[in-house]
Amino acid sequence: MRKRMKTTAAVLALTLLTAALAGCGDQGGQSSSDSGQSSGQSQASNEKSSDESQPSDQGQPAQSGEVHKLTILGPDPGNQFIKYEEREEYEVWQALQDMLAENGLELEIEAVPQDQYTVMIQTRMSSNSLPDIVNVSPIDDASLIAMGKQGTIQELSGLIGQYSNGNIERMYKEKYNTGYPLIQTSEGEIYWLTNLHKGNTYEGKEVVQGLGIQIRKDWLDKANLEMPETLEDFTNAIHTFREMDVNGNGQQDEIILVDCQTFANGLAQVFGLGNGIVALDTANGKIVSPWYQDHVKDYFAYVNQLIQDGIIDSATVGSTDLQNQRLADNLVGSWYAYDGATYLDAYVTNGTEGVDYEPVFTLTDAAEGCVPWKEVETSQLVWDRYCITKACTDLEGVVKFLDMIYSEEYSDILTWGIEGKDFEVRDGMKVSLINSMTNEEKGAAKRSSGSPLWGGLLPRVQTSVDYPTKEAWEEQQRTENKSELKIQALEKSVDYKEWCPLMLDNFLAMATDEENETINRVQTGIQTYSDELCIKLAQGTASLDDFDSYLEELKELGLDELIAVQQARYDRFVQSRN
Amino acid sequence: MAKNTQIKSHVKNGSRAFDVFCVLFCGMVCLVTLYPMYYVFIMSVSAPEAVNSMSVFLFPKGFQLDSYAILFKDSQMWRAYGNTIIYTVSSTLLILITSVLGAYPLTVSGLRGRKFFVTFLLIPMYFGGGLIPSFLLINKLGLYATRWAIILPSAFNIWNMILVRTFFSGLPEELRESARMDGAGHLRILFQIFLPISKAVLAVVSIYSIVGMWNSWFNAQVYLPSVDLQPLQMYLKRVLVQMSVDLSKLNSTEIADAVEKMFSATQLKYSMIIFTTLPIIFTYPFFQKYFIKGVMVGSLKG
Repeated sequence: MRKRMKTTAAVLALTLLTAALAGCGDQGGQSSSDSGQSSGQSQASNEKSSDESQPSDQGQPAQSGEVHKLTILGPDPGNQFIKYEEREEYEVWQALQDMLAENGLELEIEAVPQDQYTVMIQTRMSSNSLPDIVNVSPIDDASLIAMGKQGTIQELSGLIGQYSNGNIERMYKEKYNTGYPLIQTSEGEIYWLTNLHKGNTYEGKEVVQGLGIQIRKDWLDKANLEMPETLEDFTNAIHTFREMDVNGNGQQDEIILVDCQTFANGLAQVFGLGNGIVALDTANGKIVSPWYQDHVKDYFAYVNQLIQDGIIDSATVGSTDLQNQRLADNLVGSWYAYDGATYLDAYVTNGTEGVDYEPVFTLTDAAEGCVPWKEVETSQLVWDRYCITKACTDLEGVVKFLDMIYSEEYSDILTWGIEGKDFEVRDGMKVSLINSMTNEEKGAAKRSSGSPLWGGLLPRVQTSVDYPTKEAWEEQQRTENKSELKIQALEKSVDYKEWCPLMLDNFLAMATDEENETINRVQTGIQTYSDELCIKLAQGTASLDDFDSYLEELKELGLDELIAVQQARYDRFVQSRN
Repeated sequence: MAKNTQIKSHVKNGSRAFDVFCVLFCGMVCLVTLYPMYYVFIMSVSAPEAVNSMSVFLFPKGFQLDSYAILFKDSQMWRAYGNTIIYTVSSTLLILITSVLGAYPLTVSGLRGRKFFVTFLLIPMYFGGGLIPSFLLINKLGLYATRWAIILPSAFNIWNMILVRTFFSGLPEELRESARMDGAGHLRILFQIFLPISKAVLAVVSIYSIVGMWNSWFNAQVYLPSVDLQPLQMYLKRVLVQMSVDLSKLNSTEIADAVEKMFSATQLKYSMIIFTTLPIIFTYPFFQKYFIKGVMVGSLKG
């Protein structure tokens, strides 16, 4: 009995030791998914659902004529009503499958919920269990370039030159002609491709999306005031809202929301200031900092006065919850949003009817000689990143896939859906048949373009409509429930000269290693100091009399270096487009 | 006699003032502890307009259970609930087994190399490999995207083992000696003598494990990309994250969807918090008497 116990104990100890050493082999991420798919073999690999998402092993090299099987990892779009897990019920998904089949492609998609994607991708990229194509948007440029140099992700310019049918280059150089400088390193290497977006045009002009101050039009009407055009009009209006108790709750609690922690709040632009610690003065082609601009002290003095008057509730600064609560309670007379936004009225949820936020395009005469700026989201946008990992050996297949993505046909089903069902062509222009439906209605009817259904999992190439006349464009805006004031604000943004871009990165060429080192060294410190100083100056806890000492501190932290680096990047961007 | 009465009266008066202070202080602590839970409950049953405007303080405004109805209809929530129960039950059982089986040999006086084993076990209690080495290990073991990535790493906890060892060390050695004189081996001593009198420490280890596993979400975030395998706290985190998106960082093509998600999650988070907390609240009373006894488990004995 005792001998048997000793033998059993020895066997158990040996098992434990063996199990502990089991992980020491260099097996890589062997697939053990429920689908029973063995690694690297040419089994039927129609797109799989996300619960069979074991990291797959490396694929076999493709031969011409074979179906190219690719694995792709990305964030689940997470749309509440147009659900990715119900994709089989959408015609547009079938259209995508047909397009893949026509191009000899089969995709195995691993979709990870968006809220955990950042943590997941950072750990996966450090392991050997990589798919062929991965959305690496949460990882910064410098880290991606380092991964490229280490071989974790593949350099693409050679592959594109060797295998592409020209679609990728056509999209990046002709249609979305700001694209290439943003993804090419100074040595001409490309490590990722991106989403591309181009807005509508009318009469050959690109329509942009302005951002700025929104004001309660219904409150202006109640107070018999016109839409403010000068800062004085605006100040008078917001004080009148409070004095008249326009929300009718018996208290003088009407406020405005201004995020004093940042310069991107609409009000700073009224004083001719940029929208970040550095910003692009497009009129002069210069990178500037609001801290050095002419009317920055006037701006802080104005904001401080509003806080002293109680018009800005300083408790709401930096607190989304409190901002939403004030909006819900029908207290907010003005805040900052896209000029064309149609969802703002829904924030007021206390039962008030007739809520109507309308854009104040800009306000003049903020200070003597002050020319207001307009923050603008440009028509052409480049965002998100998709790279090819070292796990991919079917290079021809992956370039074929990218050629399909950067094609007009794919762009159509992604942006518009199915012709005849989701959109139709009238007088040479695409007209959406489902734009007026809410997402809930689209989800119930199982009608959608590709973008809300799988956007983010596959790169997005969003096309636009070129309206022949301004009137045709205006008509389309009205069908999207935009008011006349919103349409006018959008029109003004098209021709406005003093503007700064919302996404500065869309105007900066890829940073060199030295530039990245400078940015990484100085940016966080400057940003933190700037944010804190903005709040202190707004609230009056720091004095404007000591402004020069604050500038000295910002210089010590490296603000001038940062401006110089971003200027060099902008100059290279402009040069590459000429 | 008169002096004694005087002293008694003085002490009685002094202790009354102290009693009042104690009651007030404990009352405040109770209020500070219980009010947030009460607040979450009344927010979960109030009308959505009152919740959005955060005007609920002491009593619910406009009683409604719609957010609970939304939760109960959500199959993903129930799946997450089931996953959490699976992970909690299995990891608790495994922790109990491994803690007991690991602790007992360390209390046997004749064990060779006991000091070495104790030191060997104590070091990883203070130092860990970090996230990336853990991820690489789980991945290479083929556990990634499976339930075992959650269950196995939590199956052994050195702290709990030390706790059980300390308790076993406190049991009279005479029990073991008399059992051995009667011919009992180690397994019989452990299962038929030690364990029946170790309910306190087993309850403590169980409640630590249950609460820890019920509340955990980080390992699921790293190792479980599939929603079908994720626990309840990941579901709750998802609801909360939807609320806290910084809209200023989105472009115009993304913002409308984000606003839509944000609104739908406003009241849901309160109902979700109540729903996820209830089982733990109901579990505690069953372990209460053991917990009070077990508080002193780790202390020195005379």
